[in-house]
Amino acid sequence: MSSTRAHDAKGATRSSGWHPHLGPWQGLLFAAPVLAAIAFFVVYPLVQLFIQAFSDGAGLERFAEVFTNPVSVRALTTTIVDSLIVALIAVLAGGLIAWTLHATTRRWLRVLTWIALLIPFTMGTIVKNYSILLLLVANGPINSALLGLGVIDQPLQLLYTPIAVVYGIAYSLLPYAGLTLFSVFSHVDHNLIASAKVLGATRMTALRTVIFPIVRGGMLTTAALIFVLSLGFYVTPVLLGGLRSPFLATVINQQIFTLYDFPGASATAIVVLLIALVALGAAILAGGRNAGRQMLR
Amino acid sequence: MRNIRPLATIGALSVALIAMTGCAGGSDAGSDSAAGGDDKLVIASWGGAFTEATRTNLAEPFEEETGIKVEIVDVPGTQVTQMQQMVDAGDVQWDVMDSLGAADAFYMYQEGLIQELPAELATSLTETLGEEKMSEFGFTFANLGYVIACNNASGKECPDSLEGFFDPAAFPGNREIPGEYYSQLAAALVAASGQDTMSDDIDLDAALAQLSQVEPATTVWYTSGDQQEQVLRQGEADFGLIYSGRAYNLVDEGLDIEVNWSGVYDPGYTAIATDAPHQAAAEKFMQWVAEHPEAQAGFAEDMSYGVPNAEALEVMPKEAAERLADYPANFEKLVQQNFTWYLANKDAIDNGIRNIVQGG
Amino acid sequence: MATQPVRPSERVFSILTGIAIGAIIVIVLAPAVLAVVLSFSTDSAISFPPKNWGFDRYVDFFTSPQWTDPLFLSIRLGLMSALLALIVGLATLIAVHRSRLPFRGGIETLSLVSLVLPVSAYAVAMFVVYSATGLRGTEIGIIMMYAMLGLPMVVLIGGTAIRQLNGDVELVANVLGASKFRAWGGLTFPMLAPAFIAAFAAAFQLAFEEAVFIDFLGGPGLKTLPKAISDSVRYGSDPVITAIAATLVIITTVFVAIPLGVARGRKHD
Repeated sequence: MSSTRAHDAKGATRSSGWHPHLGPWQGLLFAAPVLAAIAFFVVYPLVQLFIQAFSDGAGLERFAEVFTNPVSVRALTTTIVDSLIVALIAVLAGGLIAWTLHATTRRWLRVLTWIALLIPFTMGTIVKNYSILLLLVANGPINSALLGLGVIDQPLQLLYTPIAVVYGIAYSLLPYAGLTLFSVFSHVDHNLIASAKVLGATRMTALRTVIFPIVRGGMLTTAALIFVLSLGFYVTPVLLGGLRSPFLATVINQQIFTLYDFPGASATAIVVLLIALVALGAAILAGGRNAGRQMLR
Repeated sequence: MRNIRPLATIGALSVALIAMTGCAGGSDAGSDSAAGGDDKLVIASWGGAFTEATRTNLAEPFEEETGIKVEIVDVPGTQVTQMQQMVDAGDVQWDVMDSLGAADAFYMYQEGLIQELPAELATSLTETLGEEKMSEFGFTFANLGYVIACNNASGKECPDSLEGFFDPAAFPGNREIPGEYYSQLAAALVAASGQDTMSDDIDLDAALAQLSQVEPATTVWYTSGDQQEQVLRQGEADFGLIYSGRAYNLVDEGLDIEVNWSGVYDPGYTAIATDAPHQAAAEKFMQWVAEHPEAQAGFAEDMSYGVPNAEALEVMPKEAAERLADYPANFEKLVQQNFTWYLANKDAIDNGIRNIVQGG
Repeated sequence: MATQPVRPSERVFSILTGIAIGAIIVIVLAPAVLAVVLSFSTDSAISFPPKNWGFDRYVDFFTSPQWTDPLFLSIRLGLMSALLALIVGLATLIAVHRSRLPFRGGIETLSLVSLVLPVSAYAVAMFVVYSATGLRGTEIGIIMMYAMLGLPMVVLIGGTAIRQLNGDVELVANVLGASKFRAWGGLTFPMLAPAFIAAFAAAFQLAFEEAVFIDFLGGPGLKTLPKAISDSVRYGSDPVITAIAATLVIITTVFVAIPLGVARGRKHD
């Protein structure tokens, strides 16, 4: 829009030119609140974390501790592995839901699917995790049903296992996966499938060879997003995983409220952040910037 | 301009709702710490039924008698971290710490978060309650026993001793064990390994070996009070080493629970916070509680937790007294915790237990 | 629409995906249904299957201050923080989409950071900051934190909507003499109203059910509904929480099902 503006030596536009958008200084004024927020709520806390982790003249010992202490190591591997599984499940299930919403013609199915998609979002963190807990306990509905049907003769230990944690986190993140993928899929032209079918492809082949390459980037980015969100989960691992399936969040919780080791908690928190950063970096490299655009639109 | 209306309506509605809930909502955040004085008292307690029992049996009668307004704040499990913050910031908002966990209490005293009792108060309290109920910083309150509670509906044989509890070969069954209460668990392990908990020369490795032995048979490592009840109620474990009060809750609910007092004595300590804003009121409260066995008895009946004044046991009905950790027949079966040993070896003990419970 | 006969493999594919969708819906709805079922029990403790039935828990929920106080607090904090998020978000959107500020793309990305930061790590960091600045345990502190968490919603949803607008409308208004702000106020933002409403709702929802930061950053006077529920689960399971769960589920279902059910079907049916 502004390519005809005359530029002076520094590249700034001459003030006599009109532009439909605000100038840089006015823009700065409007950006001031968010910049202040970022300074106080993002930069400052991160700096403080590092200060705490290196406090009392410690070098990298506290960070080394995170990777050597058996409790910490177990939590680290559990967190990463479980989060990968969650990302996979969320993208598959979310993708299925998003595609259904995108393609189905039955209204009742669409309403039901929307409800299913949004309920984890609105149920509230503690409440939904506690409901899942009640579902999984030894004398809860699932075990009672299985016992009644004769499939098992001893109640299964479902609570305080990785299964419970993965279920809980995937449950919470499903709306995010579903909505993001819905946005990605909404750019897919329905005619593409119809054209493929006319040319003789089955629905499966059409999906595989035509649709999938288009949405692959978006799905990868969504998976990365879910992975990163899952890494930091706090309530679910504590409530559903207990001490047997600890996440790094469980360890951080202990370090603050039981061991009163604040610097240690800061070091662990930084490790979590670094893993998240690496994951996001990898996703951006793999998916490319287009994937991000697809999601934002 | 027509489309502005939806936005404007939302805006107006929001403001109205905010105003409404602002008026309806009770307490504002933070506090209004009146300068020094004894017109008010702030007690930091455990919330739920515990706070209710404190309010009904202690706070309200105290308020009636002295005219001092009592406010109870619920801070279950975060007393230490919050006190740390408040002392660092120079803005302590609590006066009395209600029934701190013993290990926490000794730790807080070591860190300067709770006061040494003023000499006069200490003398007077010791006179009323006896030395065994006192420490440098307060008197024992809401004492409980970590008891062996068995759900007979599970059909498993109930262990009759700590040794048996930690021996899955002798007593098969799923257990629930404290996951984060290291001092109490350590005492249980020491006893299970056949050692004297109060000796000067405890073999930590032998104690920890007991934990490794029982680990495969443990389905729940609990981290909170209510979880202990939930686990037995929901069948996640067959028996557990849990708070006596919680065990009796289950009994009262109608579950077939057997309670075995061969466990660990776990006192709570009521103490005064460092830099308490209402020092005089706090001291008055401690004195009042010590001198009122009926008030203590009421609390003990409600919560099934022990209280320091010996007369309290006589004032309450026998069935209620029999549920208390301080009841002589129960007390003699419980092993005592060695807090000096625990604090001196805190890191080794904490990490030793953690590695077994949460490690590879 | 199909001009060819349906092949068997297609059928199988359809059935499998149908089953998969069905399974997903069941798995997602199960905890919600359980909560609703349990909310109508009157047993003294939460257990399955319920032995007695009644509305007791709902009555307890809506009549005891123990629960209504946290409810009102959560509503108030939610509204205020969502409003703050909306205001800051609006300013940010102007800076990013309607100005020539350098690095405005980067600013947009940065404003989304609080959504992606791992909660457990972020809460610890904010704990340190708030303790150092004395904001811990204050209402304004919580409101600001929640607004920060809601900001990405405004920027994301609002940003998406703005990108889809045709900027020519504003140009026309400008040509006809309207100032930038007049054009935006009178044309752009009203067109974005639905997006802003959705963003406000999302930010409110986030603040209303937020359960981690309130643990770390809250204090005695700040018992929000999630905090009250959390304390209940840990220290004294009040069965009322099932009624709370059920209420939220029912509200969602009603608010989602009605508009969707009533709206017209899509074009490509």
